[in-house]
Amino acid sequence: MKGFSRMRKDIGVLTVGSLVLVGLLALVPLTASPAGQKGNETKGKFYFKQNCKSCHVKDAQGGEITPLSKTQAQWQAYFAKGKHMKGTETLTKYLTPEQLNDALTFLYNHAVDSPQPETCGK
Amino acid sequence: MNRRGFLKLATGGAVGATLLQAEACGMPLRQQKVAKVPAPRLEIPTTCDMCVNKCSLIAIVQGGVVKKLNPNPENPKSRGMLCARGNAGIQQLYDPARIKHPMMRTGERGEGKWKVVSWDEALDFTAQKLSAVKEKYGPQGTLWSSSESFQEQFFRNLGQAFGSPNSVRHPTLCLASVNLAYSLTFGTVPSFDVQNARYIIMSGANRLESFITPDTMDLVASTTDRKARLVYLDPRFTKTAAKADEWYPIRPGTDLAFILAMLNVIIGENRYDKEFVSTYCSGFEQLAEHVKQYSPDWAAEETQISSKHILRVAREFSDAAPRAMYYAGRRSSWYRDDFSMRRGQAILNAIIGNWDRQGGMVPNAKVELGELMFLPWDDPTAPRVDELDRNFPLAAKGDGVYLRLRENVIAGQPYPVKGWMVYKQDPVSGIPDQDKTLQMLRQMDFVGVIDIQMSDTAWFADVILPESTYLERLDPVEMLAGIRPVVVYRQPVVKPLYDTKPLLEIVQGVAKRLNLSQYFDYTMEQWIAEQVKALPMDLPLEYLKKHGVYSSAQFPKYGTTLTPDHRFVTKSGKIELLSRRLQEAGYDPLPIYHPPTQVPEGQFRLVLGRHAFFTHASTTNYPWLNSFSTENTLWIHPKPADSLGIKDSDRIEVASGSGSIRIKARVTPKIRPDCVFMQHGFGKHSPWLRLANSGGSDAQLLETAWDKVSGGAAMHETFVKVRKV
Amino acid sequence: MTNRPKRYALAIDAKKCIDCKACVVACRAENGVPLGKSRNWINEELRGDWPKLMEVFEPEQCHHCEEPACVRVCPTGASYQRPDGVVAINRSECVGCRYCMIACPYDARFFRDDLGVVEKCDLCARRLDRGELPACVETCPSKVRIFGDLNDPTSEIHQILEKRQYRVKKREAGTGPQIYYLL
Repeated sequence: MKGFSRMRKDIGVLTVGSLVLVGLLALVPLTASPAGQKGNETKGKFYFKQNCKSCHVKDAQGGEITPLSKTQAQWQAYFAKGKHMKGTETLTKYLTPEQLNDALTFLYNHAVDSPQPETCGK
Repeated sequence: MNRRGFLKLATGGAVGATLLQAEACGMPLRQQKVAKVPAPRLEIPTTCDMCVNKCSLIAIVQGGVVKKLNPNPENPKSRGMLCARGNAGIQQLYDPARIKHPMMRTGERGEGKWKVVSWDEALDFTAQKLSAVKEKYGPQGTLWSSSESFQEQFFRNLGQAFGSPNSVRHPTLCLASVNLAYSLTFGTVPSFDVQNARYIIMSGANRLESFITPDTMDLVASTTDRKARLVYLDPRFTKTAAKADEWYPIRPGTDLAFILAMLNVIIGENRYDKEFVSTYCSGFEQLAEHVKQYSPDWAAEETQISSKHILRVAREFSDAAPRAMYYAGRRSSWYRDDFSMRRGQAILNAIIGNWDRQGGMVPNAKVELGELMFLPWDDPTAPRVDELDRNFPLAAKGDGVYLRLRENVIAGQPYPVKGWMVYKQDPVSGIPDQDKTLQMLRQMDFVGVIDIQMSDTAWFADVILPESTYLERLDPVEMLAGIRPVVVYRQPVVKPLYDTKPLLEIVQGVAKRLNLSQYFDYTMEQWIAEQVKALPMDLPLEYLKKHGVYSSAQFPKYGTTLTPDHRFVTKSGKIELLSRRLQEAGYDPLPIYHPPTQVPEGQFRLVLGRHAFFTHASTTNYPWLNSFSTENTLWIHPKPADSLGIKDSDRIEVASGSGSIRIKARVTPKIRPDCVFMQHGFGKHSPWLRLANSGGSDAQLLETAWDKVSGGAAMHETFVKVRKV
Repeated sequence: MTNRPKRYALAIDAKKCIDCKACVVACRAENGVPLGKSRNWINEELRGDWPKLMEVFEPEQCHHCEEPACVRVCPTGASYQRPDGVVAINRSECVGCRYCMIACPYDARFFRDDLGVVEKCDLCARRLDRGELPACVETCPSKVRIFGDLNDPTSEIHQILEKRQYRVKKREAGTGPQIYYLL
């Protein structure tokens, strides 16, 4: 799948760039983006599925995780803290802050207390 | 050789039957050599697409010709049946009026001058036009309307990748209000376990004509085998009314009064499920206080159903709980206050504790499917043109509000929309107030339609990109959620007859020319391969090809959400009798009854409904189905007909604020004297749909009105004058 | 049991019929019946006055009688009865005289103008011979139709006719119709 390998490269470039960025930002206190809604939801879904869902399935370490696993406030808090694996690492190990914000947007918009009326078809 | 001699030869041989059958199907006869050995008879399982139910079928194919479509007994949702439309799928495939090649108009829109073009030319043109609109008005200047199908997501994805926030879909003309009401109450829209119910109340939801599987079949079984009692409210004596134990020709728009009175009785007489309410629900105290005003006597005035009956039904209903249900219905595009009525229903169902119990409402179970990871695009940044956030903050965003959207687009506010892509939808036939739809259409710089037939909308398009029919297509595997979820497979049973393409390829063709290929960089086979990875059997694809459907023996499961720590997908985590979200958005947190608009003196309320042998507006041109109703008529009660001097079969004129039509009268006692009824899908403009040109189009009569909270079209709010011509 | 003759028959639970026309379309598709004619049909009857209305739907087709009048009057032997009770027409022998149409008490037969022969329901004989149900029976959403071998005590039709009361149409015509309408 052509697009996919191109994506990997982009992530590679982004990861390098973001390490620099994170390094810079480490000097400034990190605050969560306003309510995490302003990110890119479609991309957020992709990042979540690619980076989180692949491990967080039933009977996995850390358990199955879906957007319904937390409330909106809980998702915000989790991403604000940014820690993973019982605090042994940060989420930025997996995604850049921008990508994390996208993932948060997706999770926030589909959280267990989010207004998401069901509809017919996808 | 004379005809008798030919028949002698053909009797017992498959080929003769093939030719005769082909002729009966409307397939063009060609000179053929009579084969000595009949071609092998293939049985290919696939999934129907003649309506929303997606039943499983087995296509009998011989010599590359589809001879018959049989039900596939392995699908528990379709209960081993295939309805009139399913059987008529052969006519969709062999329809001489199918669009066989891409076409572009040469004359004016609607003039009917077409030229056949190559796919390259049609796709180039489409992409050019879309780009031109984007150039001038931004990507939000394009509108993407579609209806459900297994491939619909590709179309929607294209619109989004293109950068347009303006998607509008069929739920806004159908089930928007019921879905929103149940979503806000329970966090999900459940299915109704009709098979095991003992007491069923239905407002409209004419299930015996408006097929929803398995509810339709289960309703027949439950009521005729005397396992369930059916109380049915409808201004029309439909086939469901004919089978109901009690039918009340309720005054249209007053169903909420009936429901509130039931709540009044059930709560007042302590007939509700106290334990369920205290464990799982919030807002009961406010509800109890609120319904005190809605007595059965009051409701009798509103509904024109005696208070004696309302009282008795309320008591019988609560006695039968939890195997009692107030059936939610599906097409809820009725009144401006429809949402409140559905909320009333949801609340009533909640307090008798039928949630997640046998014979009650059951949250839909799912079967997990895998997902192909395709490259994501940037979400569109522009706000929607129908200004949903402001006008309908709680409505389902991706579905839009068609009637509001149309108003805005015609006004050019808040910004111009000048390009319109339509997939598997006929807005000209399907949306109320046809003149406005045509006005919106005419204002477009570009109209592109993807369809299988020359629908009324295709007739007015600039370019038509023909899709292959379901019998010619490989589609994504689809999971149908429900009490017994199923996974259905759709594979081609014949090669495409004409120069048509499946939607994914059409989307890829457009995407390539818009430099969006990277988002559609997969084949259907790759898509399906990812999906089936999640299925439990070895070689899932082989299984699906062979069986056409998969269902798991672990269902039905009841009570999976009935644990005290279960969090409902609502703001509070409980079943919200009083809805906090509604409150915060400035709507009534508990349903308040507003009487419907009075029918003006000398006029009639126009109501709509379904027949079991048609699917909305898309099947009226198939001869096998059309034979049951060669034109639509206006149902009118004998008394008002008499005073208007109208006799059965007279030609009459029906006029509303939107327009007028000429149609045949059907004088019948099967409808309230203050209502008239007409069937959908006739009075078509498109001359290719010759059999549907007769009768009249309800779209020309229906006025623009919408449900206040969901924005769903309100199609029973039109009053008409009738006169003999 | 294998040397016992089969006797195919149809039991109809008309109160389950919702007049959806699936059986009519299935028959048309299966048997190539041209529009304007039908091998099966639904009788409708509306009774009462507003608002006390009642409506019944009753499917009907050839009754595959025990003493088929149509077979008796056929001059060429085109109309015949199979050992399993199915009354069929050998199309190549039919000369289109239409005596059978006059003889049938149920108006179950019709004339094929395009072919010059008479036609009617044959319980989808080809399907029966493949071990399948008639198309109308198989397709019915409400399971109105019960089809099977009356002489097989384990068959659903045999058992339901033991349990439930039924009537036949036009018993007085004396042809011994084999569609049993459950009461």
